[in-house]
Amino acid sequence: MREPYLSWPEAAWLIMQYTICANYLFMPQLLYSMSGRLSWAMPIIAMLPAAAGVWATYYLHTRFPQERLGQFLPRLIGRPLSIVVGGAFILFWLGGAVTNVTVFAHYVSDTAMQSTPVTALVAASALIIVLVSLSGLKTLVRVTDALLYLLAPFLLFALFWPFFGSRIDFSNLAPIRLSDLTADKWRLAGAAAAMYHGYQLIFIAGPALNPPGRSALAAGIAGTLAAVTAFLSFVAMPILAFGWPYANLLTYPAASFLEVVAPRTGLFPIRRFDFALTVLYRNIMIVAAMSYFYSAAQTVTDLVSPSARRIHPWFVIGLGIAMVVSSAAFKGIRAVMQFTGVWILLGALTTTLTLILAIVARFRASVSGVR
Amino acid sequence: MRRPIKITRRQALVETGTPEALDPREDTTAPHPLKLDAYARFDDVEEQVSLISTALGSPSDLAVRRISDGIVCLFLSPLVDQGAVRHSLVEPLSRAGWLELQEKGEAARVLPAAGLSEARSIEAAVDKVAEGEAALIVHGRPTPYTLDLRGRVGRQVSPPISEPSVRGPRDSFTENLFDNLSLVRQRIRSRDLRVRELTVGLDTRTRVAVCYLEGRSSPEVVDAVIQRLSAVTAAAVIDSSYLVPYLSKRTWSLFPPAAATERADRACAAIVQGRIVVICDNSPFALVIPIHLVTLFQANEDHYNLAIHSFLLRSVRVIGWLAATLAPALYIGIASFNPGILPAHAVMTIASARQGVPYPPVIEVLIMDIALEMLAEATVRLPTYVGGAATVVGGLILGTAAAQAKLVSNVMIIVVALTAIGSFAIPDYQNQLSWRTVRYLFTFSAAILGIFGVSTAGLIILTHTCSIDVLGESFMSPIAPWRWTSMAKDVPMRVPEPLAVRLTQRQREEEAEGTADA
Repeated sequence: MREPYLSWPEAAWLIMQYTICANYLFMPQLLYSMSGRLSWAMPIIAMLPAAAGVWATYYLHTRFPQERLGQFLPRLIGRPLSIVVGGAFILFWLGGAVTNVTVFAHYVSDTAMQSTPVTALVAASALIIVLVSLSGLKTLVRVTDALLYLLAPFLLFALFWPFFGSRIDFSNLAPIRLSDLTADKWRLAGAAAAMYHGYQLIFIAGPALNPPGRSALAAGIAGTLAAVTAFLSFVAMPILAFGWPYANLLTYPAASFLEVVAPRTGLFPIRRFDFALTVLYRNIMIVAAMSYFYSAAQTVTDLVSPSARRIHPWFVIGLGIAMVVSSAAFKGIRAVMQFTGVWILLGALTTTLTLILAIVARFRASVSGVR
Repeated sequence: MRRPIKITRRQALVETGTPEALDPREDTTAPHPLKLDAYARFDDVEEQVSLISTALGSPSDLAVRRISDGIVCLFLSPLVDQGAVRHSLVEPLSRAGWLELQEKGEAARVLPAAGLSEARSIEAAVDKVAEGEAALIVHGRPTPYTLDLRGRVGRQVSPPISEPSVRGPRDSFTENLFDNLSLVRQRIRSRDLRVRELTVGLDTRTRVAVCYLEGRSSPEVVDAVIQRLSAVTAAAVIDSSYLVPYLSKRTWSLFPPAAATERADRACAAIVQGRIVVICDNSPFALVIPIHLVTLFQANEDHYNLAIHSFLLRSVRVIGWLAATLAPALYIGIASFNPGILPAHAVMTIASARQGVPYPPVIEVLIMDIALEMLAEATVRLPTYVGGAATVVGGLILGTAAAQAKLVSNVMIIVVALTAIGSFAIPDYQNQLSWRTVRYLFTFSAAILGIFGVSTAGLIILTHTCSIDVLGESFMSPIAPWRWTSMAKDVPMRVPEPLAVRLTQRQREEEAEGTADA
């Protein structure tokens, strides 16, 4: 019997951070390139596929409350298919860890640490990720819990402070042209499907939920809704502050926005307040990267060796090194952004797979997760 | 003249013919003064005296009192109360003969105040004498009686040295286990108070008392503590700190799994809260287990002051802790990597102060940090009346001279002073040491990656603290996992008592329902 140590509010908080990850650095730019000024509507539209994803994950969890993705897949769809489907999830999660860490390292290297190589910054983040993964999911959950007291006030500040400034101009959101959304509709649909994927964490943390069942649904809904607010802010705020098309010219629109609206007063002890926010957003990125990385490592272990009690330490260390090496392969932020486009499509694929798995589970009622 | 007896283990085995008497941990070929079968018995008084004396290595402080014909008393003089020997043993026995002492009931009547009991064997009697009891050998009896006439050199109950307080009780634990237990019993008069005594240490045979409140402490945790203490394999347990590594599975943790306290009120408060207190004989420090990080920042004084005042003091402690841990790292990060985060005039001040200093900020920090550590260590070792002078010389004269010689900057002196003051604001000494160690991790991380490095080190430490479990409880509780009731009751501020009682009731209900973590 597994120890149920994860309450639904804790799971929701984890899901929220898993969803936000380093999106504030790359998502606005990606969405602007796909749907122009109306990008700010995307975080709202994406709630539809998210709702389906939350339901599918919840359903799978109720069918297999004591099992992780890598444990129930072989029994649900057979071993060969489980490797293919599980492989897609593993690729998405590993890609997520690499993307987050690399984008963030590039941003920091471009702004605050210009003389520090990107690889060194990636290695520093990889070290933390590996350490947490070696300690296990419980440590990851506790780290995320402990960050609440640090992150929540700053998240609230970042979300609401701009409304007290004079740079916000709501007329920048108009005119609303629906044709913006149809210009690149397939990529946009992919982005919408992939946008809120945090509920996938239930595939790994589900057996630790206390109580199992409805906690998964509550955590999925609350975590996703909390992420909607953050995403809306990341995408809409730069347009509100800089106007269109100027917001689209920036490499990191949301980060630039935070820098511009940071409080400025001679008495304020920190001049670059955006820098403090960057460090705090880094914590969110790390939580997400840790969750992606751990999910991937755990699923590989479950698929390869279902009876293994824990992930082998050398495997975690090896994956950590692979993360740093693959991150070093990206030459410049443009290469990372191109990969991010591919990763988002992979996310859309996993969302679709989640729905298909739930439908398969619905029709294969004989397969039960109770051992 | 008595014939000295030297019995080796082999001889003993031959005599008794019981191989079970062998201790598997010991070398079977080595000569041993005495290792007899537990049930070996001797009828002759002189033979028993000789065997006990030989088993103890015929020490010069072994007193052999021949009280009358057929009655001999043996004890280690330094361990018994000579007055008690005279009043409770010699005087009553001078009026009795050996025949009256044959039956235990009769003997107890003759010696009413001596705490008389019957030794199972000579071997057991030897152990009792080694522990400080007296052995009474009576002609015709196969084994001696043992009498608890222990008296010991000890200090009086005095104010705590390492945990002083402005307000609150002034008594603290001493080196005497019974004195310490009486301090606990005086404060907690509940019938639910349980004291379980163990003997640990193969050589020292130190008595350890595990105190807890039945129904308040988790039975699993109590069992785990007793089990782990019973498994102590150390030859010597000189102080309670020797037991600490046995209470946690993590040997290389930066943080202690148990809090050490010499304050009886703190130990009792912990017992009432459901924690377990381990009191070790010969040690004035009791161990409180399990502990959480937040409790290491709480002082008992918090409960003696008004809630709002306690909140203020706790906030000051947290600021002190942040300064002690982060100030040098932030100085390095700002001066070497990220000066842009401060307002321009502040950066200019730091830059002008550093003008002429030949080292990078990290070397400056290390020089001053090591000087600070030396000063702290020297102050602890020096007698009190010299310690003050050393602090003045170290802190003021050396610091000012170093700044004037441009070996370090003036700003650095401020940073070090902040670090030192902040460090001393942390209440628990072990906690202070832990964070002093962590400070170096922050310093080196800042030297490599600036503020980004400070953030990295912070996450590493957070990961480490979050991964610590002490007897099944998270070290970071109630911060992680979230326990809102505990948080509200006693973390940012200690709520006033009536509200605390209500919250405690709610906390117990939540624990009973298993929803405490939500």
